[in-house]
Amino acid sequence: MAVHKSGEDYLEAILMIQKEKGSCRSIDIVHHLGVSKPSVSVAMGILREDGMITTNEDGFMSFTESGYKLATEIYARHVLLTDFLTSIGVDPETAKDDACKIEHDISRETFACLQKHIDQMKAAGDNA
Amino acid sequence: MTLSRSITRYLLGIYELSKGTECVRSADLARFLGVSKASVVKMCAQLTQQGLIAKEYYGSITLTDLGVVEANRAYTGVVILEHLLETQFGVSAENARDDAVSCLCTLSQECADKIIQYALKQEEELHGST
Repeated sequence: MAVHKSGEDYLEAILMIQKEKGSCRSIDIVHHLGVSKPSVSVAMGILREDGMITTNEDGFMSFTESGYKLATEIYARHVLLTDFLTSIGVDPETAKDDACKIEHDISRETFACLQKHIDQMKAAGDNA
Repeated sequence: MTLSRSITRYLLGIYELSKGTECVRSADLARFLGVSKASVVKMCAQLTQQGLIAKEYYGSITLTDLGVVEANRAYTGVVILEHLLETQFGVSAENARDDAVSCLCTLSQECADKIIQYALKQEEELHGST
């Protein structure tokens, strides 16, 4: 069930579009990621084969259970990184772009540690 | 001098393999970075053009004086960030180094600078409070 880096980007995009619009079709991903229609079509084929998503006859996508789990995990990493970078003074737009670039390269361990660190900072802030 | 992020990754690789002074073989660099030899050749042309390395046609790679200065600067950033990840965040040594390099070679300059500032501030606070 290894999903390639760019596959992760697609999964994340589907989740973000669903959150925003309530549903997601291939054309939405084309606009969201700025990639070509054929690229999306190939990527969706791979995600379907991997059992991450299903598509109905109208072209609307749904996550499978494992697809949803992975997508939310990737999205959580994205939000965590964006928040952290913004909190140390990076411009929010830059933070968002940079979070996208780095989120697939960083180890799970570092993410877990960063999450813990941020929780501790928040707890300390609440007590102060 | 602002270096592109991928140039920095190569420069750091050469710096580490050369231990600062020795020359490095292209094949070793390719293995170390996990890239093809062709990519190394292409990238080394750019590094040579920017005056960071000297490379003989069939020979090995040596950092120029400028290359050493730039590599040293990038390496300092990696060490600072690695230290932050290990001591403040509790990341294992193995992942801390790789992730520090990934961060500094992928993030925008603004982001990389802010992270290093943050790391230095944390370090200061830690020593200030003990």
